[in-house]
Amino acid sequence: MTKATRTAMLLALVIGTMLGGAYLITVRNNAAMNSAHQETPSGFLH
Amino acid sequence: MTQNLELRRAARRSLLSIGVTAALITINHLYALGPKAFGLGAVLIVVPTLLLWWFKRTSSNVAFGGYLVMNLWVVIGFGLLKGLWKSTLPVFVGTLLSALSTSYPRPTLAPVWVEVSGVAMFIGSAFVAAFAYQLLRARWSTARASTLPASAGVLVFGVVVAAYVVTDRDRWVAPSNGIVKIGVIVPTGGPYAVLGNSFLKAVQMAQSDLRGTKYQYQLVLVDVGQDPYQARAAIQRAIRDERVSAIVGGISRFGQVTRPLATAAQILHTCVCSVTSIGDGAYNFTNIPSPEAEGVRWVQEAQRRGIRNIALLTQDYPSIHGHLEALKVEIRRAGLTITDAQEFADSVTDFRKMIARARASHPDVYYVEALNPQLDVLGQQLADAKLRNIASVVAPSVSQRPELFEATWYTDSNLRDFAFKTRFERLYPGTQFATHMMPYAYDDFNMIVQAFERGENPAVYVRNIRTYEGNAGTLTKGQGSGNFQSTPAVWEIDHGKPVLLSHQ
Repeated sequence: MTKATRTAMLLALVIGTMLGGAYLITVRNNAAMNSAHQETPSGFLH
Repeated sequence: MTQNLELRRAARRSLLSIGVTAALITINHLYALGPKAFGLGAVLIVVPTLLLWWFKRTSSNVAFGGYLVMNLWVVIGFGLLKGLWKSTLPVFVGTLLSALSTSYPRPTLAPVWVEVSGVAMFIGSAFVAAFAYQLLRARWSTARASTLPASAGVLVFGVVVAAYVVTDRDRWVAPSNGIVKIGVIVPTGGPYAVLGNSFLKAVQMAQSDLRGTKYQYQLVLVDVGQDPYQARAAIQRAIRDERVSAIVGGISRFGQVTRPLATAAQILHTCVCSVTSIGDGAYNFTNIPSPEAEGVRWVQEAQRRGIRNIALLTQDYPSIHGHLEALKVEIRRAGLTITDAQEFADSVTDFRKMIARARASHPDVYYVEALNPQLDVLGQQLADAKLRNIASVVAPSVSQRPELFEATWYTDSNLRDFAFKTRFERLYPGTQFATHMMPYAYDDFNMIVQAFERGENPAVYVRNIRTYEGNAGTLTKGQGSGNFQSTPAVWEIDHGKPVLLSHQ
């Protein structure tokens, strides 16, 4: 394995981890912050 | 010759990185710009391509300089300012910081595809920067790569992260001149008159009840009208011009408008709102019993009274659907029976056939829920039919003629001390007391006051609250949650007035 190949693989791993991590964190965050859905008021015009 | 080859290869790579990053920028900007994002993407691809083509043909320094400027725009404008500062750092560093300390808000993130494309935009811009550097070296025939750009890049990245850590933190700021301005955002006209005025008066009462405080608390009443969309400008003015330090608000439709504005201004916004998604646990918090809590308490009381069979007479309205859905879940769980269920539109004024049909199903209780004016019309026709076994959630408390609902029992907000209601009615004799609004407004205001008196940032203070002994009983809030929970109580109309029957 050449140095260039190793570097490319390492870069791909870092990028994949960053994108995958961003996906998971955002999904969890939006679920916890109630951002993913819209509701209608459920009290008396509340 | 070798230099030419090197230059061409560097130019190809550079242009490819710009093309890929421009595609990512386009995807990311579809969220904010819509189809206009394609125009932006086209500019980011076509202009550098033309400049590079011009440079290849003429070796023009102008063309090369223009190409580098486009690179700078992509790297700084989109990669660093948007991709890094607005997506990558909030997603990774912001989330980590909020998990470590409540002094940091949980970041408000856009939909997943926007955030992921934002991070990708930052990564792409790093490639753009690296290949632009290679191109520069090839252009000026620099023999070896210097380690300076890499070191400088790491240093800049470190400084940016440190700046984010410093600016993301919510800090206590002592109010200037000792005056704390609190924005009051609630509509007080039209269909919101009873709830809105009740809310406003509750906040004013809370303010006048303050004794011996370190700071002076000033209410900034925001005239939001009755249209949530038009309210936006008024709320923005209150934040920007009046410089309010926190907001107390009511009515979900206005809370939904206030939420992003409070988040952007990094100020606390408490809302007596039933739409739980308003409460994000960062800057926005809701405070009112959930429909589920009303349903549980209602069924408990029905069972205590030996009720087995229930007829439903309800208005077709989103607020009422919320209560009804929660109630049906609890009815099923408790093994009770719905003998008849009828829903009516807001144009119906003659309920006699519906009442007769419900009566024929022989219920133990008639569950009635509607908004005025139909609520009182239905109440009159139920009274004419000599039906007194009526129950509800909240509705009788907003009736203009509560005497029509004599002996009706219903769940509504708890009151720790009934004298609170009496005092309110004495202070504001012309204002109808909306039990479903007032104690929460009073408590919300006092939470903000407590934060300032303790010298804590109000948003951080409320984030840390787990239980709060308020006027509506004990409020609870889970860690990280933006919704205060409370247990409703059972009320009954006695001699034309609401009477609190039980606290639990």
